[in-house]
Amino acid sequence: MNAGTPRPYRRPPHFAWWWGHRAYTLFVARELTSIFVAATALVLLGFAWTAVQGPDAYAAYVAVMTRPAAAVFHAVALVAVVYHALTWWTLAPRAAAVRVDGRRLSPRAVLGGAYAAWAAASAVVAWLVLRGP
Amino acid sequence: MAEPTITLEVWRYRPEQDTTPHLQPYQVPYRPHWVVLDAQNYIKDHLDGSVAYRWSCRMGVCGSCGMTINGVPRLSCAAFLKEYFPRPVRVEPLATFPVERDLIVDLTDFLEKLPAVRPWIVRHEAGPPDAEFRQTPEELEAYRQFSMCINCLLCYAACPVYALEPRFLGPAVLALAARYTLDSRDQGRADRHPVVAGPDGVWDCTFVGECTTVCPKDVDPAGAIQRLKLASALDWLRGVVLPWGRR
Amino acid sequence: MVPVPTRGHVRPPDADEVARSTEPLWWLLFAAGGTVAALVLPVHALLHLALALGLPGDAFAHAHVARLLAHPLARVYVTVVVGLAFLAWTDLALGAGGASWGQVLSRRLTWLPLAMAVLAVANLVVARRVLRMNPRRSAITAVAMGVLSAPWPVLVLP
Repeated sequence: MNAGTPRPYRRPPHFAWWWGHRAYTLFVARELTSIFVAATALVLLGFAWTAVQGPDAYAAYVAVMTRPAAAVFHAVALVAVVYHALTWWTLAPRAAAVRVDGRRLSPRAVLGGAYAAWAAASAVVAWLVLRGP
Repeated sequence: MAEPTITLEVWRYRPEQDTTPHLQPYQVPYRPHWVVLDAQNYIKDHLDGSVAYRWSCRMGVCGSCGMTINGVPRLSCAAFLKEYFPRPVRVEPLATFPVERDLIVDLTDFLEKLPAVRPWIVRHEAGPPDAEFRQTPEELEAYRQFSMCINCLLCYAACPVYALEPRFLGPAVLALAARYTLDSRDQGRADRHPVVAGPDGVWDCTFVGECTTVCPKDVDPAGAIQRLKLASALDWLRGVVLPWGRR
Repeated sequence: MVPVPTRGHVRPPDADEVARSTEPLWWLLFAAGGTVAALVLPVHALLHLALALGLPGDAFAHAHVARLLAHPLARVYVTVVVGLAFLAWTDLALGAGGASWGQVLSRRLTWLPLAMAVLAVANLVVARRVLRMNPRRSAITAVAMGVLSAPWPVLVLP
């Protein structure tokens, strides 16, 4: 036996780690939607902020937000934000072992409850905004 | 009538003679009831006795035979040849661990991290108990899933955080911390807290979830880690809001 | 108490370091922000798109929106939603949790947008001052160049 044990071979990290493997690609896509979450929040803030400032500021902001490029952005942001919501409802409940009457709720029951809450919140917001003057 | 064969491409690295690893193909008879481990044993017995790999129970309970099969971390005793036939099967060592030889990886990192979370029932009274601990079926159910871990370390191979940040404790260690903390007989939650909630603990996890996907025993380490995050966060909140209650 | 064996790869933290660590706070804010975002941002994004496509009638008229926002709860709502959602993104991008700035900056999700922003600003200055483009064209060019000249390959490189 030669002097000294041979050092273990360390394989260099194979990355593209997230590119070739579907699960990892979906994970990175999920994380990237956070950019659109922040962007959508800022767009919403812009509407509220300029509306409070006055009709002229609001009209200017709406003019920017209704341009074709802005429409493309809103469409992409919608897809991203919906993807965020879908993955969130699947993942977030796993942080708690939800118990009702001592029996653990099945993941499908929790998901159903989450979707119901999501639908209700969306309906309330849409009704408040769209019911018109 | 020639028996159908399947090609196994085995990752080879012999430190005394190889400077770089390479894939070596072997033609193995294809039998539908065989798993990859059967094919490896055939190679070792009939084709090339120099191939080195770990295995033991060959029925998915010992956790010895973890390796990367066609890019996916799997137990070689649980991967049937018929899932891959007629295409070749690429057998590589378990990812994210240094390789000692051929398909044998160095698991020292995991073995050093495991004791840090005290994976045993921690009791604070001096001396052994007078009688056995009693536990209801509900109390057992609270941690049973996390006790199924066979330390096969497929979860480490699947975890991109562990691959990028080797100091991360990792899915199995944290799932076992959850197993003991959730055990009604255990009193060691505070003892484990500095390691579990400290650097390299649960906060490094970004909930990719692949550890749970590859686990052969349905331990769900990702779920265990998220529950530990919530418990640690609530503990922290309690400590901030009610500081006099801190131990 | 059984002493924790400490070898090689495990750093033993002291209990005070963990107690001081604000990571749990960031995580709770991240959880709150992500939940709020998942609950209401999809419908808001849909409303933004609908407005851009010209669909709703006078639901977005200034008078109506201003009256909506006159209600105190409405401003609280916007602040909470925007604040939490933005904090959630910040925590995700910065990966808070004891990470040093070196680690933070090495995370590509952080410095790729930062690099794009810096490049966009640089391109804007060049377009306006050097090439004498009008403001609108400069802005479009700057954003396009920022996105195109960003080091996208780092996302796939080791």
